[in-house]
Order: sequence, then structure tokens, then C-alpha cells
Amino acid sequence: MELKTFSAVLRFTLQLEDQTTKFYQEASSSDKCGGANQLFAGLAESSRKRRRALEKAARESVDHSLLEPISGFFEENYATSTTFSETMSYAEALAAANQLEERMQKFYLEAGEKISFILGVSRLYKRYTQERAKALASLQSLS
Amino acid sequence: MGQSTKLADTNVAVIRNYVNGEWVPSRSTRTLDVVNPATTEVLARVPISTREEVQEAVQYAKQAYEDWRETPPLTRARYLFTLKNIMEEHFEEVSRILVQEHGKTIDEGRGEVRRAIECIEHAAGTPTLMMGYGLENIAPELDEDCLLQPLGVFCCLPPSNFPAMIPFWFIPYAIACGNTYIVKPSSEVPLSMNKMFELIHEADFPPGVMNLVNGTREVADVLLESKDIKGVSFVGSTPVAKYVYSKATSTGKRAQCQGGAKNFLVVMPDALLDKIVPTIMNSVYGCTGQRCLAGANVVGVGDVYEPLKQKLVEAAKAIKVGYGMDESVQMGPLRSKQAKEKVLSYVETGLEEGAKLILDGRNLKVDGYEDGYFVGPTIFDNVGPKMKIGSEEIFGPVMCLMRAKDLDEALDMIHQNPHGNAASIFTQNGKWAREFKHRVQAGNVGINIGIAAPVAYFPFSGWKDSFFGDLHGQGFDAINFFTERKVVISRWF
Repeated sequence: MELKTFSAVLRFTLQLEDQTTKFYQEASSSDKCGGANQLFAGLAESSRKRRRALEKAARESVDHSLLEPISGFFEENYATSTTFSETMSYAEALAAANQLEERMQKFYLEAGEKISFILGVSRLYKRYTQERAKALASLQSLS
Repeated sequence: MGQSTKLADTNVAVIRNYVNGEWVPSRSTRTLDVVNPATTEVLARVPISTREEVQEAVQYAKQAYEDWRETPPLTRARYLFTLKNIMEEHFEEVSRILVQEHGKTIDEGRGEVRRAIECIEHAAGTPTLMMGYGLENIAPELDEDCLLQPLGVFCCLPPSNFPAMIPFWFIPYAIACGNTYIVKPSSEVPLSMNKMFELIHEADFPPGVMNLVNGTREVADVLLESKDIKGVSFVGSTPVAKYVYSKATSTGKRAQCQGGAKNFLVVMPDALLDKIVPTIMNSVYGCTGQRCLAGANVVGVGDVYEPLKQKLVEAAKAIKVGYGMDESVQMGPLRSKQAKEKVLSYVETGLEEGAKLILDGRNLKVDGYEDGYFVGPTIFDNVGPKMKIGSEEIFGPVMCLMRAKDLDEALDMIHQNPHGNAASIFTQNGKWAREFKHRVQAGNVGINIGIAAPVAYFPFSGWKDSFFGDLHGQGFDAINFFTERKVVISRWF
């Protein structure tokens, strides 16, 4: 599905963050991921914080005079089916987390450019690109 | 949907007035339908209030003024802080009402509510904004002070295109300065202000400080004729702005009347087309072209014309039109059946005048909303500034393309037009931008900006036939409009 408006991009972003939160929440309480439980719990909390900040920034920054139509931006390119399963091994969970962070880093970078007309929010996207990169680095250090 | 009384034989509610702190059903038996322009569903009925009801509201506001003006400015500001917080809680609800009664997209609705809240935030700074000034010893032991004081009851007659935002260009400033207020919303779109007054009621302002009376021009005339109203704010078409200004000032009132527009977007040869085309799309087609700041005439200067035209047509074709509750929709319907007919009539006129219709939005049908008042993005090529479509306000999704050989010619075209609401230039050249900014006869100017909408702490300007009055809405102008100067010279023995 093509995301053609600011609110469509935002809604999809919040959906992706909800998936992130769910993944890390579940992974953090798994015995198999003992070595990364604390990291996963922290990443779940970071995801919740990002969601709150995005909603607030969108509400406070949306300006009818600055809205622009968006083209060439498709959900399918970023949709993640990354879900945590109790049957996952520690290595599998880490691999899934790595994949999630790579995809989300790409999403924030490219989505941020698409909504650059609402700078108050696109700056957050830029910050979150870096945050996801940092998360990826933390995960990779455990591999 | 808001405070209302159900009619005996129907499920459609009649909305109420809000007078002296209470919701009051109108005594009038005359009502008009409030229609969703996408679905054509009747959402509610709005009463045409009686003369007596309007006069009663004025008297309540006048009585409330005596206490309200004695309330310290900070206390008055605290009510605005409370109102702001309540509006934040109901942000999404008001945004959705706007989509339903006006037809704008959900993003446009949210953007409108945000601007309304910003006016409240700015007006809450009135303890500082309303400060006067003084000087000791203008002569030995004589001091002189200038105070800003409120005047009494003010009113506004807002338009149908921004029913939630435009009243707030005026209300919070008037109230914060110590005046009391009456709003008469557009009878086409009264529901968002109806909701706002529910929130105002929740904020617990003293009775009579803010009042709402519904109706049409007849109600406006009662307000304009009232000796107890000190000032009027109006936004709408130029002919009606002239009428309101004339009538208000002839009865001794202050008046600020924003009229219509025909805004030019000048694209210079060095403009970055890929950056500016989406901006121009928002300017011309945002809110379905129903903004007084909307771009109408796009002037391509020199050899930018052909590549610009190609990109504009391509981008306009891609705009998704539909019901604004769907987040993917980029443009909604026109406000009413009459608005749609007016736009279609202008398209016919354009064809008769010899302009070339290169994108025809007339026969657009939206699946599921076949009866909605939709017109798709429309573009005319080879438009002359003296053509009707090039000089009169269409107030719809119609772009007129014009050619100019240079910036001077573009400015001449702008200046020939009787309106002077807004104008924009798109360029990377500082010299052209500065030249444009300095010379253009328009009140709201954009440089690489398609909708030059001033934020709350700046006045919403407008020149020539786009504005009648001296002081604009918002900003310091608002403080000056809603106060009078009292100069005091004092001496003590």
C-alpha cells in the first residue's frame, strides 16, 4: 500500500514501533535469551518512548500550510513479520532482532526524507535512525 | 454531536446557542441543514436565531464585561491555559468533526486545530502583551502613563473554510484583554464551533464572557446594528467584507474585515522544481483550494514554464481525492453543492475565454461517495491576468498557468489584480527574492513557501481588496484592536 499523506506515514510508523515493543517485551522475558534480557527490556522501553514522542510531536507540529502530497513510498518495503516465538533459540532471537533494527533504521531514514515538510517530526525520524543504528551495534556486540 | 435538541419527528438534532454560560435552544422555528459534503448526510440542523435572542446575548455579554474587565490579566490568562489543555485532550475529536462538516482531510483538520490552539497559547501571554508604558517627570514632578484598557463586547463572523481556527484569531485575544465576546459561526459549518463551546463550557469561564449564537446574515446584521458591540471581526468574500466594514464603521464600531484573494505563485527559472512542485500542490489543492491563502495563478518566468507545467500536471494527476476520514486521501470535496457549481461555472468560463484546459477535474467520481461535492484537480494553460478565471477568486481546485518574461512582468500581473492577500516566489536567487519581498503588493508573502500563513504571534495581513480596516487578526495587532489607549498625567501635592 502506498503511503501518500503525513498521517498515513505516522500511523505506519506507530504500527512498526508497536511490533518492536512486542518483540522485545516477549524476548526479554524468555529464559532462552538470558544473556540479553536486560538489553531487550531496555529496547522495549526505548520503543515505547519513541511512540509517545512521535505522537506528541505529530500533534504539535502538524501544520495545514506545510502539508505536501507524498509519492513513491510503500509499506511493503518496510513491513516486518519479525515476531518473537518461545521456540526461538538465543541465536535466532538475536538474528531476528538484528534484522528488525536494520529494517527500522532504513525505514526511519527514508520516511524522514518523505515527511521533511513537517520538520518538527522529520528531525525525530533522523534521531531515531541513529538510535536504531546504536541498538543494532549493541545487538551485534552480543553475537 | 454537540449540545442540541432533537426535533420531534426526526433523528437529526438542532444545535443550540450558548448564552450566559448555558446551552439554550433557539426559539426560532427556522433551521438549515448541516451537510457532510462527501457523504451528503445531514449531520444536524442549525437554527436561524431570532433578533431578540441575539440582543439578549449582547446584553448578557455587556453585563459580564463589568466583572470580567476587573479580573486581573493573569487570572484571565489562566482560563486560557485551562482551555488549551482541554482542547489538547479533544484534539482528535474536533479534527474529525471538521472533516465531517467541512470535507477537509484529517491532516488538514488536525493542522487547523493546532493553529487554533497556538492562538490561545499566544494570547495567554497577555499580561505582558497588554502592558502599557510610562515616563516620570515629563515636567518636574509630573508623570505620564499610557494604559491599554478593554472596551466591552466584541463579535466575530467567521467563514466556512476554517470554522475551528479563524474564530481563535480573535476570541482569545479579546477575552484575555478583558472584553467579552459573541461568535456567530457560518451556518454551513457550525458544528466545530459548537464543540469548541462545549470545551469552553468545561473551562468554566464566568457566564456571559463567551457566547455563541447561530444563524445567517440576519443574525450578523443584528450584531452589526447593536450599539453595545464595540468591534467586529469578519473573514469572507470581498463584497461581504466591504458590506460588513461599511455597516460596522457607520455604527461607530471598530472593524477588521478580511476579504477574498487571488494569489500568485511566481516560479523563477532557477527554482528547484522537484522541491517546489509538492509545495505548489499543497498551495493550490490543499483544502480543495478553499483557503484565502491558496495559490491560484502559477506564473512561470522565462524558460521554466514548459518543464514546470509538465511536472505540475503529473503531480496533480496523482492526487488522491476522496473522503478525508481515509488517511490516504490527499484532497477532499468542496464545501457544498453551491461551491461545486460555482467552480464548475468558472471552468466553463475559462473555456469560453479561450484558456486551454489541460487537466479536467469536472467529472471526477469517488467510489462510495458518488453524490459528494467532488471536483478533481484542474489546470488551465495560457491564462491571461485579465481573464475572469485569472482575476477572480474561484475558491476551488483550479490552477491557472501564466507566462511572464521576467520578474517585472510577473509583479505587474500581481499588481493589476484588485486583491492583495498573498504572493509567493520560488527561487534560489537572493536578489530576486529580496526584490519580490520589497516590491510585491500583498500582505502575506512567501519565499519558497506556497501558503504564507502567519503564525499566531504575527498579524494575518492582507492588502487592497483583501482587507478592510487598520488592524489585523493575531499578533500585536490583535492586542491593539481589542484595547484602547488611556493616557494619564498625574501630579501629587
